[in-house]
Amino acid sequence: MIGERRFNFNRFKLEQTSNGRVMDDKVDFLCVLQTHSLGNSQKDNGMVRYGCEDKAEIVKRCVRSLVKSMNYAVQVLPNVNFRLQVFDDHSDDASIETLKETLATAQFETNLEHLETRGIMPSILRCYEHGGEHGKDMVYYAQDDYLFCETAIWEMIEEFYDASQKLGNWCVIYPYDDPWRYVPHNIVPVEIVLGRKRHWRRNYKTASPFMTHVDVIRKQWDLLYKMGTHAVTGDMEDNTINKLFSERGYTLLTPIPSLALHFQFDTEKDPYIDWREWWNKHA
Amino acid sequence: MEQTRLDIVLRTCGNSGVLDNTAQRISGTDRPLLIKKCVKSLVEAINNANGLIEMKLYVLDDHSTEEFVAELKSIIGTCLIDYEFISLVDKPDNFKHSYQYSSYEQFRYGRDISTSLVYFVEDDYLHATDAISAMINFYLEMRNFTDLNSIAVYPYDSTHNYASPNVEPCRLMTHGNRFWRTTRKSGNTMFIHSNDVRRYWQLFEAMATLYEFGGNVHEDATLNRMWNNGVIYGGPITLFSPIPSVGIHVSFAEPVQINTELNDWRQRYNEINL
Repeated sequence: MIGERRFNFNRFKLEQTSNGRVMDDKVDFLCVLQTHSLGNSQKDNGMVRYGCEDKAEIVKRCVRSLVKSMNYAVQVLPNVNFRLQVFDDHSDDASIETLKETLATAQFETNLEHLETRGIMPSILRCYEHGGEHGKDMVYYAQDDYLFCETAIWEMIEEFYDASQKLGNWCVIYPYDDPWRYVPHNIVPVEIVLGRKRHWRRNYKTASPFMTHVDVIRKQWDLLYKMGTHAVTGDMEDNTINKLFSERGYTLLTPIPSLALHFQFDTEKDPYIDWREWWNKHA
Repeated sequence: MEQTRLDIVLRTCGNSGVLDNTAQRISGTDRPLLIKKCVKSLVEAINNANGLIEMKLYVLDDHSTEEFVAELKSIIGTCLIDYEFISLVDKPDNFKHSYQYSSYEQFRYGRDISTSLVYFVEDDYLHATDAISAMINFYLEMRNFTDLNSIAVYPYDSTHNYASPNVEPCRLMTHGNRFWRTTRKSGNTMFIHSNDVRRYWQLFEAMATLYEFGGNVHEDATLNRMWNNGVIYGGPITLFSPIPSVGIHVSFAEPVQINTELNDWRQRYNEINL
């Protein structure tokens, strides 16, 4: 539990531990990313992604933005050990090559593994399993259609530790401020706090890519497993991982405005961010 | 049917403010310069909203020097809407401080002069260029869109909202280019319907006549009793503050900063040439 290890936010060092760590231990950040360049489930459903219909192009730019954001975090958080594990679900050869080129720009450890399974839910489950098995501290589950701003990972880590310390429990971070949360029937009571560069709001709804501590993943594994084995439905998160917030006492925080954009439907455009500006940075 | 219009009632004082004059304000500049910059930012915001609805600016000045009044009038003279400059008379004996009387007069203008919307504003609020239009548009849309009884706007996303233990649940929504949160704390500065000023006049009167810096009567005991944050406080008027602020209180606490025009409030402050 966080109470056992006081975190010095400014110096980003562990001050005192009771679990064998020493003062100058590095904190570990494991990002587990799922990629798939070919199928576009949204197009299959008759929905068109905003910005670009070519899933391979979306994956290329989104993964580049993630690596760039992690590279930025490497520079500003020297006491964090960054790792990126990619699970690819049968992307085409060209996309795999592009992916490898992007990973080659990483200033941290990366690993690419090709899945034997097919489909989004087995990919999610494999990512969840890997995070639970190999995570040491922070684990961020990422997907290939989230476009990040450069400071995203840094701000997420800062807020994660800051909020967790104040809450006395590990929090959960979802970096995308979904406009759906602001339609009238979804406007629920929330707390707002200040982060380093923006406000953060309490949220009760995440999607499968989120960030938390590995302890949460292990303790609440039944919910993650249920998510990873759930059919693709509109209520799959509510039936599974959203119970972290509705039933199990964890706090979900989302930045306002977003640190990552979900490149899906028109209705998911963040009204406060010029997605084209972000998109064009990663051509 | 009511003709929607806005009366902006600004009170100025070049000599001293309500707040402690010995403490260093975040602007780092002297009070006259601070006021002139803030007033100019207000005039710019008014001009940018010109034509949206009918507006009039009242400036109630509390015994500023002749030289300062001339400078203020020069700034206000650039206003594109109808305006009136009123030099307040000496306070009556039943007011302990001059600022109490100017506060009373400001509220009284809202009660007696305004028939529609009124924006009470103090001279140490630095406004975004779209401040007035943002508040008008938000107010009108929220009134038409919701079944809320009354709403009001406090233009400053105050640091008080985020200082422990003041982090309270609120409702958060989006409108225009900002988020808007409910809150239950305002200063004298507020955007409100004059019907509510008349309806809750006792609270305004108490704030104006009894408030003293560091005293026992303050916003929580008076004005803040009107507010409803849609969650845990059930006053008669739902109060909203924009995120980011449309007007920043240039006082002693560094304002909340995020990625907006007013993110670097100092740059905005320095850019205003007098």
